[in-house]
Amino acid sequence: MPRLSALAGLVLLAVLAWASAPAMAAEGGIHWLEYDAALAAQKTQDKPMLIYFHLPYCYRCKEMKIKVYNQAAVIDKLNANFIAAKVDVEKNPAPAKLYRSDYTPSYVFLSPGGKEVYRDKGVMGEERFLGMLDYVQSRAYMRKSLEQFMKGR
Amino acid sequence: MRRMLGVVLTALLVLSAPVWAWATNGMNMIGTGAVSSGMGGADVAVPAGCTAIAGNPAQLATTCNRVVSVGGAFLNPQMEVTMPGQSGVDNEFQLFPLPFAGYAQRIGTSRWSVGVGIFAQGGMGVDFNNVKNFMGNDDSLYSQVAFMRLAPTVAYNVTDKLTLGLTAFAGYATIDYDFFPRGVQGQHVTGLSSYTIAGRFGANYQINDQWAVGATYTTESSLDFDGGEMRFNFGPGLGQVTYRDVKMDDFTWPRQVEVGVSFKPGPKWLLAFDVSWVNWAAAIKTVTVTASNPNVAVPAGYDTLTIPFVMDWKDQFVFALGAQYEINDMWTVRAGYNYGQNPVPDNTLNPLFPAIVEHHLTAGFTFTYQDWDFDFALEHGFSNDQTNNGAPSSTNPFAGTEVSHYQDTVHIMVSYRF
Repeated sequence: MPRLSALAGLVLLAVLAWASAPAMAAEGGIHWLEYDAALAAQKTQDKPMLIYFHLPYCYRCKEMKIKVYNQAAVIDKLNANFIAAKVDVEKNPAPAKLYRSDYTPSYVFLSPGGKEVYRDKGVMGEERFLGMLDYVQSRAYMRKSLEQFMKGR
Repeated sequence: MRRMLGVVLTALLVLSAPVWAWATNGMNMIGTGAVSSGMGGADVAVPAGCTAIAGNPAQLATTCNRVVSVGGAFLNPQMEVTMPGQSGVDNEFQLFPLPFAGYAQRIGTSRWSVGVGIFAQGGMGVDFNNVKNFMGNDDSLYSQVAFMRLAPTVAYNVTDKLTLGLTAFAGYATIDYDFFPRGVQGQHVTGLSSYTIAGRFGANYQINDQWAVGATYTTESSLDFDGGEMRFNFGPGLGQVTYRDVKMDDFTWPRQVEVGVSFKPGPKWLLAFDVSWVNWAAAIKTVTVTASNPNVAVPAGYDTLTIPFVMDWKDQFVFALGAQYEINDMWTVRAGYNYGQNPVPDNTLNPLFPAIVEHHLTAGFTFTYQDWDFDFALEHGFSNDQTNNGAPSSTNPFAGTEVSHYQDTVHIMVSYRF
């Protein structure tokens, strides 16, 4: 009887998971640019730039797509306030070499003037990623660490 | 090379020995590592780090950079044997460590990932003291089967959806047993060991962001035990005779086919379901112990003893169901259920080899801090009872014997990504 209850509980868990799953935003919402195009765009726009280093078959990069890049708040903030460059480090290794970034997923932020101002790596949740965008956009990196910034939000 | 491999595997065996009564799905662990075990062993289509070395090797390709994992399990079995006309006897209290260590990395930014690990594949055994032998005297039943594997693994991303993996297993196994050593025809056997090799091929296909399917095929590992010693009790007259050359034949770790599916109903959820077929029927039939080279002169016909253990195990289907939920960036929880059919037939049940547990319930969590993962899982194998209903004979000495068995296991693992 306990076994049946346990199995029923797992099935119920699965059904709840299905039912409670939030709708994912449509794919392709972020206006990703190739690295060179992003550099060119930054010359005409006064925006910071995110360089996202990934591999198409990196599981943790896929996790970022599902958990973060498909979320509406992230799409809106990135598209409105950043130039977003997506670099496949296998096909385009030069930027990864330039920024010494062989870890995927990883993130390098450039100021509107093109200077590297912050970098991070690994899978993170939507809240932390949005906080990281705010951190760069508000130039808080000049005064405090991201951890301090996140605590003060 | 062979000697070095032996040293490494033996060292791990020493660390994890004695490892009695850790049978779960037959003689296999239900999963390796706290993540797989926390999901009831449902891991074929689930991304893994180092533990892919012991699971679906294709999942090694989910290693994005470099990861090292160290951990293991602590297993506490509870068993009871009841011989005909006797009261039940519990096994001695035991808590056994089963180590795991592995390293995996992607080769640069290429499509290749490699890894190597060492882990406890499985085993079984008992330790019953003060159980009455066939002459009604206090005696003992004891067995220990332990099997460690060293596993270099390679995985390749054919596309961003399809990954393939291959593991070469170098295995080392040991067997000791006591079969009523104080009674006539009693046996005390030590030091049987065997090296073996096998392979596992795995594939994973990511259908879309939500669905993935995977499969593995594992070849059988033929174990030719030798190097053992047996003290055989002839009773009054010859008494105890030590045979210095003992081997065991026809004991095989089975081939196995697994298929699995995983589904992400939302960003925080992961559900997985596996079905495995384990070919015990071809692996464990009649295991024959041959003892020769006695230490004293024995009558003609006793120079070599041939002792068959008729087991005739059945093929086994294993069903594993697991769920995972990410509470936040730091905490992930899991639950799972695992059912493996009992491969031991009623008419050959032998309390020396009681691999009869069928139902398992598991729960676990991961605490992530920066580049560190701390994994934990609990596993409970529910009690199963079985009685030998075969006719008494020289090859079925345990007719009428009842065995019950349950067990609890704690899994812990620490991983560092860099």
